[in-house]
Amino acid sequence: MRGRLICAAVLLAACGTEQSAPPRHGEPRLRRLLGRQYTNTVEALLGPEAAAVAKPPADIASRGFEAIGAAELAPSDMALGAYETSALAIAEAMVVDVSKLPPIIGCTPSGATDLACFDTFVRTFGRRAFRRPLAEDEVARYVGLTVTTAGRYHNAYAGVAYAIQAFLQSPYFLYQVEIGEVDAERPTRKRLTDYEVATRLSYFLLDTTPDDALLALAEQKLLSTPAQIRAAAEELLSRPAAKGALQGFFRERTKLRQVAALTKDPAVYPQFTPALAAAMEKEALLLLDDIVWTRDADYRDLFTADYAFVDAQLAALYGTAPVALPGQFEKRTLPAERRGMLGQAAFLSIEAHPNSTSPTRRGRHVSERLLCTDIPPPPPDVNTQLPMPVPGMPRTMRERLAAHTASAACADCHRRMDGIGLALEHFDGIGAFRATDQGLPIDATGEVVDVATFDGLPGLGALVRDLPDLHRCWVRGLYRHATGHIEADGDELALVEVDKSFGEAYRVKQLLLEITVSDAFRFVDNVDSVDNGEGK
Amino acid sequence: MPSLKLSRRNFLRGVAGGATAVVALPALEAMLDAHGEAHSDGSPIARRFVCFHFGNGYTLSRLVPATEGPDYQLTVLLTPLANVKAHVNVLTGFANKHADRITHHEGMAGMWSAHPFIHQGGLNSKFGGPSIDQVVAARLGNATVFPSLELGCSKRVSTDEGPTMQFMSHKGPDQPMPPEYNPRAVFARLFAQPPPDDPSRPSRVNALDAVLEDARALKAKIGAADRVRLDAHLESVARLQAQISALPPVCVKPAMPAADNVDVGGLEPMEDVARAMLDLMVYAFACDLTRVSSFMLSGGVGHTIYHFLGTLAEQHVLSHDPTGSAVPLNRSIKWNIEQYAYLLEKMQATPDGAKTLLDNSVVILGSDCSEGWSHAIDNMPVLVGGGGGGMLKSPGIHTRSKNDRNLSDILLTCMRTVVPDLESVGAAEMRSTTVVSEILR
Repeated sequence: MRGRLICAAVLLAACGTEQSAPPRHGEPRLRRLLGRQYTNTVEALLGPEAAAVAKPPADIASRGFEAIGAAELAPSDMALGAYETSALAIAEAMVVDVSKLPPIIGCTPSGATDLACFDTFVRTFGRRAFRRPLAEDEVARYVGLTVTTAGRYHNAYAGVAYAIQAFLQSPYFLYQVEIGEVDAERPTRKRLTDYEVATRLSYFLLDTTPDDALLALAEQKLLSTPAQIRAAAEELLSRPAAKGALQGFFRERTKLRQVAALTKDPAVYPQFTPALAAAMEKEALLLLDDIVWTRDADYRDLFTADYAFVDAQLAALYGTAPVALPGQFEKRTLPAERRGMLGQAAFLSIEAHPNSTSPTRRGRHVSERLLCTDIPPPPPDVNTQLPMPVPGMPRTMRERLAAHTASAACADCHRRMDGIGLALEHFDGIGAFRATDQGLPIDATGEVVDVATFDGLPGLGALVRDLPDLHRCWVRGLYRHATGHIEADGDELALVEVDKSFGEAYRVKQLLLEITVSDAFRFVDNVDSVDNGEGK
Repeated sequence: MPSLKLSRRNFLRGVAGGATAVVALPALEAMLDAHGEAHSDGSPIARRFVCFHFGNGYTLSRLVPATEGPDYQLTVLLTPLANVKAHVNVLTGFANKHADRITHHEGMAGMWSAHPFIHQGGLNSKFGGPSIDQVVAARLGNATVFPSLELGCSKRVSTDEGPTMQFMSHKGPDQPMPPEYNPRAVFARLFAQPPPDDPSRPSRVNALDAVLEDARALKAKIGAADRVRLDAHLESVARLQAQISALPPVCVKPAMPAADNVDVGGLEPMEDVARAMLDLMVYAFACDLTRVSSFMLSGGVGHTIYHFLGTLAEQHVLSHDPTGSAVPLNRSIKWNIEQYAYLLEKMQATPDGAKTLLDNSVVILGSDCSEGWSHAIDNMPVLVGGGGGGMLKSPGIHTRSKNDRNLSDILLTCMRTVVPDLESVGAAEMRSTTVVSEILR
């Protein structure tokens, strides 16, 4: 792969024409709005009462990303039923008080046959719902629907409500539709249209639909050049919603959403309560917010920060200076043994068992989710049973897991997981510090296989923060989330440039901008240009 | 405030509370032939097809009966079947022949589709072909308002290894069929339609007409892979229109279930949800709203905790330690078989023509491993409940293969009870054209 990239980038001419196909961008795919994007969009179009009853089907991850699932998988009957039910509930919520409707319609209908008003409504609302102006046949279709259903109820607002219900189920609403225009300079690819760029930008950076201002830029063709896109993206990143959108990505990638549904054994962890779980999730997001938005600081601090935002419960769990007001989160200096997001109770609890730690899960998380290194599957028919505890003979987790590495079949892969996770053994299954395991001293030395050995969580954080794989993985993760596909070789070429500029200062805001202006974001493959000898 | 109501639909109609006994209207006597085995016009009484899954396998030493034939003794894990033993065939020692192994995934793909999964790197995969319930549903076509139901219980399924481990039902590699986990939502979907003359019905259909036209126009502009997805989307929308237009079923509807599958104190209400889902499934069959259903009680791998059985350990972890975890692990396996037995008993108590619903159904119990501690997929046990419309042996027998017969043979046998002319199931090393004749009458 690396060899091919160099070939494509540097030696294109010298590589010969036979074997070196030109680099390609990802194929354009219809990409369904994620659930939160659907709900945010309903709120932007119709207000909070509508958003309160919006109930999209659950997102499904594919290849590790919900955005990729949204671009690869077809919705089931039940998913489309859920959209229909949700759209109907929204329509019903809209007519609870029809006096609120005229601003959305753009006029006040004089009656169930006010075609002029319906036309205004379909054009203005439809443009916002489809994120582009409607074609005339589409206007006719939705005006027709409005008239038909208004007539059935003898009520203009009923017609409007069913038109809204239909708009909210149209594939032009449910999917980010990216057709593009052939790039005259490189016909193997298509440039996203200005409206498509507006949509991609807005859902990536804000998790919601482009607003009227952004659509106006698209209409004026002011989202065509990298400089124009950069200016628009900078403006979007100044909005409060940008914080929530990055949190959405971060919550998915780091599994933070699972904290609220964790079960912990109260006999082992009596401190664990729903309130503590909620505080764990909030703490994790506050550190992200602080580094990315408040301080616009080096994102590598996520792994080495010597401070945390804690409430009274977490202050007690971590042993920081106390926080007096319940529910209040304050910045506190951490004890020397705890650093960064891998020292957060959220991560340490999610990747643990209900009654014990799990070095294997913790290590797998670091390897797969932070370093993008897949762990090979376990071999078939291997006895997974660990040695039974013997009463009166306590053993540490490290001693129990020695069975993983004693067996040749398990050793190579388990070293890649356990080698990392065992270094976190000073933190129990809900992230509290412990000096001993079963009364025995803890050996917290660790290893990132093929990279380096280290000591304990501070050692892990210090090592991980400077690993090229960490940065590469973070950039690829954001990109896959932004576009719904694994980078193709042409995308990868562009992302290597993004990596370089990110590596200058490691600022996430800057990275988000660089992604949006890169060719990998602005172009898609022109599938029709592939000459495979079979025609299209 | 000027207000408007679009529909007389009421999602909350019905009395909240436990489900009562099934009181569906059986097919009327006058509509049946002299033997009560077919409709008077000669058309056969409907047959039903159920796939019932729980995760992480069995402990074979406590499951497999010592002897074969009809007179086998119920083992400790089979005791829940005491009341329906005559209606269950126990098959053990069958080989899931999936060649590619990444643990659990091959078990799901082999048990429920007989197509090799498509590996997507690391521990990620998707189904390589349709699951058997969807094959049967597609063959039955639009015989019922809902081609199939997908129901679930434990929500703590594996969500980070791709669609194979997350779902048991798949129309194809890129169309998983996620289950509904909330019994109240199932009730709303099946039984809470507005009255036939309600103006919302044609209006919702009109709205979907516009959606269909949008989708057809879009189809002309997109690539081949997306056209396949959009075709599936179009088909689903058309079915949705038929569901909205359908007249209410001629049967006694259940009450709105109380269970909503919301965790309490970090614990899943699995017992209530399993009962409510199985009750709804039986109502749906009795009302002929569907003839195919899958039920994923718990997923392979996953994070399900059987807290109501006195353990707070994840069952997947228990399954890796069959000796140390013997008590809680076996309790959880037995509980799963109890739920299966509950469904069979409920179906047996439900009249269907001159017979019972169970007589006219096949209900397959399967898992993604034979034994969890080794992730084994050889020596697979499968329970086949129901009479298959008279095709399956009763009283049921235990038949044992020496790990030399194809697990897919069982699937094909069961599918033939509903689709008699089905020639084969699956693909590659798992493909089968052979039935298990021992369990056929």
